[in-house]
Amino acid sequence: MTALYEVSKLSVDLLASGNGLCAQLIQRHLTINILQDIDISIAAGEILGVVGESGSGKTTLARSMLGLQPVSGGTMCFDGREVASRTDFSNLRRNSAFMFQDPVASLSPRMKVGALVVEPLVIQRRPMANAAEKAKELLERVGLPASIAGRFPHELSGGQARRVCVARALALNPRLVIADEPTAGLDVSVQGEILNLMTGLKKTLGLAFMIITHNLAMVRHVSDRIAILYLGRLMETGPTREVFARPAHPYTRSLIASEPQPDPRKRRVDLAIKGEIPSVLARPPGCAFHTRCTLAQQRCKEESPLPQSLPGGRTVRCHFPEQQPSTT
Amino acid sequence: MSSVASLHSRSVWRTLAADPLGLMGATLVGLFVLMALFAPLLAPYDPLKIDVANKFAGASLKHLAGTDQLGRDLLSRIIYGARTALGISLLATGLAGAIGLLLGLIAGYGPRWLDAILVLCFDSVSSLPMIMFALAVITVLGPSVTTLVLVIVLISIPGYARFIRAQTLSLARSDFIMAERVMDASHLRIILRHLLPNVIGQLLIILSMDIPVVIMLEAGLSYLGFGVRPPTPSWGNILYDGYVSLRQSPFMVVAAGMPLVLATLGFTFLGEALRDAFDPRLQLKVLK
Repeated sequence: MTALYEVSKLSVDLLASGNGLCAQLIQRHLTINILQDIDISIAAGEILGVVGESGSGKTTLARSMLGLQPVSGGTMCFDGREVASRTDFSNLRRNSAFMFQDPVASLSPRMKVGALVVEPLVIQRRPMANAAEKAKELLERVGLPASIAGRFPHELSGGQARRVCVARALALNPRLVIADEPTAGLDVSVQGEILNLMTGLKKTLGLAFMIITHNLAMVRHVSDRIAILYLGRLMETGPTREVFARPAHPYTRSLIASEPQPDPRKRRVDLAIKGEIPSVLARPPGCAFHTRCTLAQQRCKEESPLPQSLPGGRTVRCHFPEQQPSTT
Repeated sequence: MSSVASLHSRSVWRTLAADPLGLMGATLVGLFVLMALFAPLLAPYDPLKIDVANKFAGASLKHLAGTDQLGRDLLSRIIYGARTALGISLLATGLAGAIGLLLGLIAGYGPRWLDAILVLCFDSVSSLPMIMFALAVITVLGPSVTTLVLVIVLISIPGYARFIRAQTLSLARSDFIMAERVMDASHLRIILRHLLPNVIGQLLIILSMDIPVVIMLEAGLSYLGFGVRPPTPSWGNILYDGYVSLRQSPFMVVAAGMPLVLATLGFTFLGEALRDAFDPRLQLKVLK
């Protein structure tokens, strides 16, 4: 399996600094580590689900993969070539698209839908015989009537705005679409429509998707592989089916256990995660998850676990993978 | 952008028409603009023609607003004064608005170090006492219309620039600008096509509310003898002439003061009505 986009050992540090002239001159910064040692690969025509709680660095990961966020370490390769300079990112951006969490906010408020969907083509100076025709074609591809082209973003419903964003993402015929919470704020029926649209596009156009979400049920339904992120560390990656069948990391197990069950008696209350996600400003030493882990030992507090390969194509970062908690 | 204007214009006009003060403001502003545009047609006499034999004449059919200390027709001078007042205030606010817009966009969207330098400049200029600064510049450069406009522009730029900077700063971090950057849009395109249309509306409202301030400033400086030079008619120097010859003809002060008060009121009402009409939160109140 050749990777379309491969990220290895990516880390991102944010600088917290003052904004005034003096602060700019003195350059005294406080570094906050957001992401570290992230290894992710997306194959062509594959859907990768990135799952994590709020503040786990999902959005930062997507932003750094598109060059919106400066990275402090690691390499990124798109289509076998390293992405580092501005021109590399320009090449990457011609072949990829990003869908924001809030679709209405990601559309320029004073432009009409028709102009918005063809904008990537205008920016890339692609020859376009008739912009209105092209807009109509793109809108029809995502199941929207051509009449919507004359509307402003604030006149769209949530589902329509989401479809407009998909249409715009498809304008350049990208090979990879990164979608941040593609179903946030939508009705369950509209969520289904959007997901079916995306899986349909994956099949017909061979598109690869990276879907960032905290919705486990959705990821289980649509993605081929998943990556579990916790506090800026990758906990577990692997094929969706494998990970859901045999979660190796205690965090993954707890996440899956936290999903609502049709039969409430089957819910594993004993696996529920205790407490809150720690602040990135006070990152626990050793394994990031040890403060809330039921299996935590002295070793977890001192030593950060290295990635381990497990059968079925899974990779886990845990000192005690696949170890079941002692049932009492 | 024109399509946006056409989409909103109907509701804006309706809101404006529903507000009696706004309607009054629009009428007053309209009258003054007509007066300034058609001054040569409307003025019964040449505003500079001296007729000493007829000085300090009261209101009569021949001279509807009387004459001044040199026998010049006051009505004609006031009509031509509207030209001076509107010309200077529109030119000055227009220039200051344009420069402020540009600097504000640069400060808000450009690199942080440039922003820090520009903000320092804005703060330095706006920390100077306005009238003192104006008097100092005019003393150095000599009183003339050009100096007057220059001074007003210099004084007003920081306010507009800071307003635009604040708007731009919040917009530059918004998702839709990020989306443009992901699509590899050039900085020029982001500024012109995405930031500018979103900040210019509010700037126009602020500018229209600042026109009366500039009219007053022009009249004030002309009154002090630092603005428009006689014999060019300006409401400020007519007011000064009236003040000097208050014992001979108390009417002159009234004749020059009235248009000043009415124009200021008109622009203020219009500006406030425009602000209300463009602000969607306030629009809900009108609909109720």
